[in-house]
Amino acid sequence: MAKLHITQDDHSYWMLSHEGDDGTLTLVAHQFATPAKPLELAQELIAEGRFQGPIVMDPPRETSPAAGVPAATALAEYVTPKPRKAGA
Amino acid sequence: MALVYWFADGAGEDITRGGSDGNTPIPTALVRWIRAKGSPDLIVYGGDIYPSGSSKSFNEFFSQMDGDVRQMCETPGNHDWKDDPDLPATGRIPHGYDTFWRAHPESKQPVDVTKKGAARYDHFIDLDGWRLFFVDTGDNETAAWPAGDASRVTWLRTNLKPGRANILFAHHSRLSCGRHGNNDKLDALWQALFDPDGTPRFAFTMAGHDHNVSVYGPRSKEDPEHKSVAFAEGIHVVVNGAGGDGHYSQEDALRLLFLVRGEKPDIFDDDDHYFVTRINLSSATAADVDLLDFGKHAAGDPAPVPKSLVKIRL
Repeated sequence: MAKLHITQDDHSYWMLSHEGDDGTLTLVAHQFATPAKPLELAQELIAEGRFQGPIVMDPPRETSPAAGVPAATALAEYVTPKPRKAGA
Repeated sequence: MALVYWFADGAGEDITRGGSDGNTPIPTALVRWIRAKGSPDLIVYGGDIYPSGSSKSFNEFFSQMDGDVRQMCETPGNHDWKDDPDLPATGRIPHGYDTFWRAHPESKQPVDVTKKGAARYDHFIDLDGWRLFFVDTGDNETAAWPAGDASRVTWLRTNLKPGRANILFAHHSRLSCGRHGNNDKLDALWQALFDPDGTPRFAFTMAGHDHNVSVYGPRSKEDPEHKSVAFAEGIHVVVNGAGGDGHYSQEDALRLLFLVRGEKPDIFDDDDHYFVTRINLSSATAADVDLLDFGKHAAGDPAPVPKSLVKIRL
């Protein structure tokens, strides 16, 4: 069953991935500071009839105060994330 | 010579990360570079103050612009139009947008309080022989331009400069590639950019909305989605919504799923980096348009993208 997944990447940015009926994953949108925009996109795609299926969303990842926002050096290593399933 | 910069779709609440320290909002990093090293004559924010164009969101925008909008104007976006009361004196308007820009008369964004609805924000600026038109398409989904107001068409057509030293700035684009794609609701506006016989009266259009970059060759009046034509017969289309709030894929695989729509750009495309558009009005008959690539975090100086360069010669 096709699904839309809202998940965080390794740098805590949020992304939207599409899972096809055959399990193929494709990145739809990425690098959002919060899940609000990917959720809006997913809801719009359903409202427009361009997608029929569930939206599955991960809870925000727990980060320790020490971890905080990734430092510039860590951000410099950022690459476009691979699409990801929620709950994986 | 005059330099105009455009960025869009990236300011407001929850836009918090980027820059060399990792904690500078992308739009702040972009505008600081423009001011420090770009010698701007005008900075256009192409619309969308997230999440819903409220006064709270505009306060955040003002902070992200370092409290300085003197050189700035904003074409309203669809998110600005989410805060849309219908008031007797003004008609339906983007209230937070209207309130903010009326409170900043030092800016380049006028609000014509004698008009109602979106017409309040339509304006033009003359720079070095060019006329830059700023048109509100933010309410496109509910009331596409001209939103039932024929005076807006008259205003646009009667204020054109002779020839085609005219440039259109709006939030939505007739052509686009991404989650939103082409926009046939904008066809009335696209048609108004040409004379009845198909002669182009604009050099190019500049827009955002899709959070990525697309640059197209000249497109004709009657068949803009088909293919590029000679410049004498068409108008270039530039889309840059890569101004701070993530990226929308242009991946071909998603077309089969209807999750990506619109024409694949024939000059340049990108769905992975943040960009500022630079418009160099070098003379009354020459303009160069290119994209400045700020990478994934706007952490330093941008790299101009040679492939994106559009040289307009009238």
